[in-house]
Amino acid sequence: MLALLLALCATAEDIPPTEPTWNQLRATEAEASSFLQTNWNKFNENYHPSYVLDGNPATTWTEGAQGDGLGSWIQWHTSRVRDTHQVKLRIRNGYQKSKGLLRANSTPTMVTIQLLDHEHEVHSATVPLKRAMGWQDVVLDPTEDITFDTVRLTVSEAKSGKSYADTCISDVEVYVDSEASYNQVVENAKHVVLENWISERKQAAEYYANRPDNYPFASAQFNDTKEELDQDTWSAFVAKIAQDRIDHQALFSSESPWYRAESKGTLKLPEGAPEIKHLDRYISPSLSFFETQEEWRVKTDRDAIPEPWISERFESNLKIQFTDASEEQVRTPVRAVYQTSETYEERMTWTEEASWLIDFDGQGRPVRFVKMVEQEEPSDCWRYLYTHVTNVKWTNNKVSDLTRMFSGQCLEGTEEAVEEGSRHEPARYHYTAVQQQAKLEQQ
Amino acid sequence: MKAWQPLLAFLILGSTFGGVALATHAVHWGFNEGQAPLPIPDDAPLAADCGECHEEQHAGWAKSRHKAAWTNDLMLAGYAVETQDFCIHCHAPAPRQKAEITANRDFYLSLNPRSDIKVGTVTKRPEPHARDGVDCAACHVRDGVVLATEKTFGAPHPVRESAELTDGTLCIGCHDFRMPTFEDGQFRLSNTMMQATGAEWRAWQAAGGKQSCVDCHMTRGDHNVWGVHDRKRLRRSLRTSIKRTAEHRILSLQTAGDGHHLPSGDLFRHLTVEAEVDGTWQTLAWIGRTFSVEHTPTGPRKSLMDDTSLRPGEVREIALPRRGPWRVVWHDGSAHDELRGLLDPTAIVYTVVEGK
Repeated sequence: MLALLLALCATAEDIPPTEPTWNQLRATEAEASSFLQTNWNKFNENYHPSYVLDGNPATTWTEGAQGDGLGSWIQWHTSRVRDTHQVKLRIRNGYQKSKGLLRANSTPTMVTIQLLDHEHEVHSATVPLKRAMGWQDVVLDPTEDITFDTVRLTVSEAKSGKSYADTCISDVEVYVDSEASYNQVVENAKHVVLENWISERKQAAEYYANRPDNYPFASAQFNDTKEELDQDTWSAFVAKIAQDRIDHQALFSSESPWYRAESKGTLKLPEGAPEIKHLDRYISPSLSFFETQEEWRVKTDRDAIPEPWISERFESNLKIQFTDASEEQVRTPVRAVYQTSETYEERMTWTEEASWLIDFDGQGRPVRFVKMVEQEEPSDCWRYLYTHVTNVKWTNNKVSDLTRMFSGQCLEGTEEAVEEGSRHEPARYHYTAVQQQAKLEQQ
Repeated sequence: MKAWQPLLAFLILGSTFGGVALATHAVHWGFNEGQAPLPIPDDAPLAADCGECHEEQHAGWAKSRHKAAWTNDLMLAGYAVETQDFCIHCHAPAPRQKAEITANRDFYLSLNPRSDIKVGTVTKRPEPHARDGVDCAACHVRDGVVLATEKTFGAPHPVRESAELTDGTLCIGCHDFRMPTFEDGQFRLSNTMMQATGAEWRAWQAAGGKQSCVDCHMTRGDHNVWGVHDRKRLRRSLRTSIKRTAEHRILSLQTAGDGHHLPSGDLFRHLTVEAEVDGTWQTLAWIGRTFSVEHTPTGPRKSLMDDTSLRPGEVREIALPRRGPWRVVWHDGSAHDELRGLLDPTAIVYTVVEGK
């Protein structure tokens, strides 16, 4: 009876608090009000806001505003978590690659942490941070359970760096104590996406830093612009590609032998250049053609194709038209044609057959790529021809400009569909080499 | 001018309908399994016009998946990789909607990771009609009249009763269709169903099922028309129980009175039953439809290989390890969708039920 009375008299304060269960929320990317862009991170291999999410103290988000960047913010979307009791942030404050860099750069000393749900603040706290190596934990404890999908940090105060007025945060990890079910597979998948992006950035930076002297592009970076076309220019383009189709068929079905194109090593296209299939092979300075008996260069089934949505892939070798040359002279290619075919398995399944045509200048350098895709669709136009043309401009033996144009013509369909004209805009997309900037003095 | 006045003018004067139909005529719904847009005239009222008077219905629809039929992320990711008119004809079924979307074709093509058009180089033009997806006119305007479940008096537009709004005919028009295929360069509808919710429901009715689509999905006339994207409802539509044996735990799955399979609708939807074994989640059962692709001389052909979807009333038993966490996970998309990175995985993968 005494025990029962004692039990009844027990208050809530006597019940030990439950230990929070912390589950980590990942994110694929972060965005910020700005980030530092110099010749040291031309390929976003550091300083980009996403580096606060990678758990690596050697990388950092570095704001790009003037001074110490007070008011600068960084945010990222998390899984939307309901019934959240507490949120814990683990922060590696400042640039923690080394003690020297921590001192050299500015460090936030006060940050405002906001938790947002559909862009509306559901909780916030302004907390002090130390300039110190290692993790600092901040626990946010809302008075009521919250739902949030975004974490935002704003720099309220900062301690200037000894050398640079650039405020840095190396890492932030987010943990939740919540009633919502935790899906580790999804969180891990997000981290894989981030890791892949970082790996790609580092590979790009390494490749371009060590690119060979005969790298055929005028710059490792290209910028793009769009140009609206007048009707005359567009009409001339449409007429030329109609002729291309005829020329392709004539050369591809000719009795001339098959040639296999070979180029040594891997050529990476510049950052910002359009991803044009096979362009790297044909623009390579080591491009050579070898006669072969084989019609097919690639004949691959599902097991050997990395993309699970493609079940078959074919690529023919080339038929080539050469300059007329005597036996003593080296023949130079004037035009080459080939075909590719890929079968896609999505909701529907279809085979995309593409005809390719490459024009060369008098020195054997490609100057024009034409890709013609005939596509069948369940619509009032049941056979379309999409044509993509890329012109290549060479300056001082380097590619300085790429221009692209697209056209879509209905080949077979209702009368209205055939007369509709191109589905693509009369426009030309320019990709131009960016001139190298003077190297900035940075750490 | 009152909002209904242009609507009245459109219904009375609009000759595009071919005049006001007589009440005895069958409705010309125009459903065609995605081969063409529906016969909705360009001057049909916008959803906002309808909402001026039908506030409750408009408010329900505004929160619905019908409203988001064209703009939801899953649709856009699918259209980016399969930029086909076939998709438009159900997700934005009016010709005026299709015109807006096809004008943005370059923009949609640019979203495809394998596209030749670089993302960000094409600006999307406004789609004031297409953004409403399956709007009021898609279900309620045909043959120059507004179709309704009952005759109303005093409406500023002609009204005709149509039992087909509630007997399943209308819903099946879009939720039951065959897979298109190409043979010798010709488009044909194959014998494989891409979506078969109507056929599943008819089979259930033939076995004694009583309810229609609207009885469950539009309870009390709610135009929200809930489905699996309402995750609470999805959770309620699956009953689970566990019993223990000497060797295993047996998980029983059963649909909670659904008049069609679970999953139903899109062919990529599926459920996985997973258990954590030695710290790793393993898939023990895959519930849904699987397809095979046959490469024929006339082109590739997709056929149903297996259908393990839960049938109405069926109890599916799955052996779980004797101990450890388990869960039943809903997937809106295919493994491709989860790998490709066009969609937020948290938005298309949902743990329906879990245990320890």
